[in-house]
Amino acid sequence: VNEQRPHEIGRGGASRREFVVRGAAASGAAGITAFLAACGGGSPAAPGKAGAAGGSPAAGLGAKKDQTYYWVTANLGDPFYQDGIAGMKKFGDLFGVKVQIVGPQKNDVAGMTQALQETLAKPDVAGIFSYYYADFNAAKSLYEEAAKKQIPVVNGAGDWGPPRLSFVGVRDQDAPSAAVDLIGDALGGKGKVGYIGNTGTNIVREEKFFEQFLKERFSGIQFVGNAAHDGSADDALKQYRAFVQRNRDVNAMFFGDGLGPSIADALVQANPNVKLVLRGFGQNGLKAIQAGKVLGTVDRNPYDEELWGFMPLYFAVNGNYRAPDSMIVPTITVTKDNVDGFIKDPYHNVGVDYSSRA
Amino acid sequence: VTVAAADPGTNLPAAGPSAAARRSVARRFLGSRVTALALFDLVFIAAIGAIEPDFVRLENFKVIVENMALPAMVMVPTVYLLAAGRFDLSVDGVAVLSGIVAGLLLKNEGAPTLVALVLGVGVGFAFGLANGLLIELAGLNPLVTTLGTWWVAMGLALGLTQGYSPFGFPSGFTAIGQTKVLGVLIVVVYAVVFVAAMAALLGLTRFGAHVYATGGDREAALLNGVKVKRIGVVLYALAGTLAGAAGVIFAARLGTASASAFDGLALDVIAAAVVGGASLTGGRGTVLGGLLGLFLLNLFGSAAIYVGISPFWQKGISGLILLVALVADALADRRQRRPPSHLGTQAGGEGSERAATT
Repeated sequence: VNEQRPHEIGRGGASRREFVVRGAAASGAAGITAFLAACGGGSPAAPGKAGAAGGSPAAGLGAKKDQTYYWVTANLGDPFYQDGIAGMKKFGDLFGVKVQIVGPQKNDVAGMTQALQETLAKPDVAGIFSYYYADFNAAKSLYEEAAKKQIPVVNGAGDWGPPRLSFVGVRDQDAPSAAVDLIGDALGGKGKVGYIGNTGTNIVREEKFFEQFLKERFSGIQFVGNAAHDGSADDALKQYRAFVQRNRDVNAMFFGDGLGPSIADALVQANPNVKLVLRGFGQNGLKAIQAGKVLGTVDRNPYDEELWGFMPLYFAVNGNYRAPDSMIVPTITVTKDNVDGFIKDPYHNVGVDYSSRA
Repeated sequence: VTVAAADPGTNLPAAGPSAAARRSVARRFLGSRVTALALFDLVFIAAIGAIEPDFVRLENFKVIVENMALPAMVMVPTVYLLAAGRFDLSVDGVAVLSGIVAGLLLKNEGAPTLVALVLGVGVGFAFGLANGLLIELAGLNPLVTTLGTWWVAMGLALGLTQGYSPFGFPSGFTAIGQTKVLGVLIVVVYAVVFVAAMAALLGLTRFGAHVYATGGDREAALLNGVKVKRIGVVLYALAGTLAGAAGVIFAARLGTASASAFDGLALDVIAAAVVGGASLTGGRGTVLGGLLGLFLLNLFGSAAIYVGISPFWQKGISGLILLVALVADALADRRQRRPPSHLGTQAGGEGSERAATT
């Protein structure tokens, strides 16, 4: 989009460019160099191979190692965070800095707002990767406070524009779009389809996209409705079972939030004839795909998102580099065709090993 | 079952039919909360069935009963805690932690199924016992204490798993939750056995009469030799044990142990018990009433999907049902406490009868 606009965080203008992370995170030096190129800055001095001794990308940047990079979020009990935390830790290892996730266990907007407020008050905060997915107006004053304190904030789960340094994540339409394509192809363009998700603001937005894309792309498919659960496995299973009982002729369902993979087996038992598409890459879901019980799963890999999401913070703090306005991480579709490769190596591109270059 | 036995251990009068005998059988039958609720459930089913005939299929009721089986196991001790003038908010957390302990023992330690099962349920017992000792012996407030133990349990669940949900349990363990008996999930069998045993224990024994006495008038119960504190400890331990059992069985049913397995279970079962006639001030409550209350709430959840009520309205309407039940309860209570004009003295209400029917 290449639209220039003032940078409200701090030091220098932000280039409003979209940088798409190609494939699953190429977490080594090549990926970081590519990122810096997109930033418009130079590459860090002698970036080394990922994990190699003395080869940290932080070398030469004078990294502030006593500071911590925080991921502020909510619903920490969700299995979704397993891969995301792995990505965050990888960032910490690569750059030699401290990282920490904070927030309430449940899908609790007030708790998440409080966690953001408390994080801003910490003396050691270097930057914040914010998963603030609720109405931005509720947190706007906190984002403004961060800007005043020159604490860079990168948005993750939803983007509200400035004041923030950058957005790293997926567009709301990406996962629904991939799910629609997967379901439409599997049904041969004909049948009945439903949706279930939690009541999170971003999930509700995505449900609308799912319905819209289904209508636009597959006129022979009827959208029979949606169900919503409270974020617990107990309620999700209850709602799903009631929904497929009500719609016994439903041919496919999209479980639109990250809880689905962890309860994949129980969902399949509720109606084994339903072609089920999940959201996220929990091991239970992947095993069910491998066994042919589940059609597939779609999502960005949160590992990619968190690994890349912290980098703009690091380079803003340690090198005054401009950051892309948006970095869209890829939405990955895993089906029976590619599930084995994904399970074997969920975080890397399969096929080309750039990191083996001298 | 009417508690009619004399109570040789105390000076308490037997919870017999002294007051009830003065009423006609028909009047008692029509005037009881259980009957009213059963009739309401039937009318509700008929009304929804008239709108959506599919709703009254046997298969749908099977799903509803399977869905309410585990909550019913938690609801029963809740009824008796309420009858004894107490409550427990920690059951969600305890259930989650018990499932996770069992899951981690199976996956990480390679523990045999029986060991995982016993230790998982044992965690529930330990938390219940801790609640009982803190509240009854140390005199701590039940609300704050059980809220605190809920936090501890959820915190331990998250800390032990770090967001990871153990899965891939041995078939011997998953059979505990996934086996079907005559086409119905085995969890229904567990629930029937537990509920019947608890109902008999508390409805037919001296202990049960003491529970109602404790909640009806604590001081009077003490003066009559009832070991009020001991009863409280036993009830909390029972609540914890059954929450633990529910958590372990749910993990077996899902094939995974998730930190987000339950959300709001404690409030759901309290709501069901109150809808079923249990009093928050103690002295009243029946297992059958609680079951019918739970059935109504689950019926509503299913019916909402059948008649197409938006999932975003469902909680609100469930709340309205609860409020209507509370208002009806208050009105009925007031009417029963009004002195009959021909006696000129205060008549014992349902509470003074201890409603010792199950």
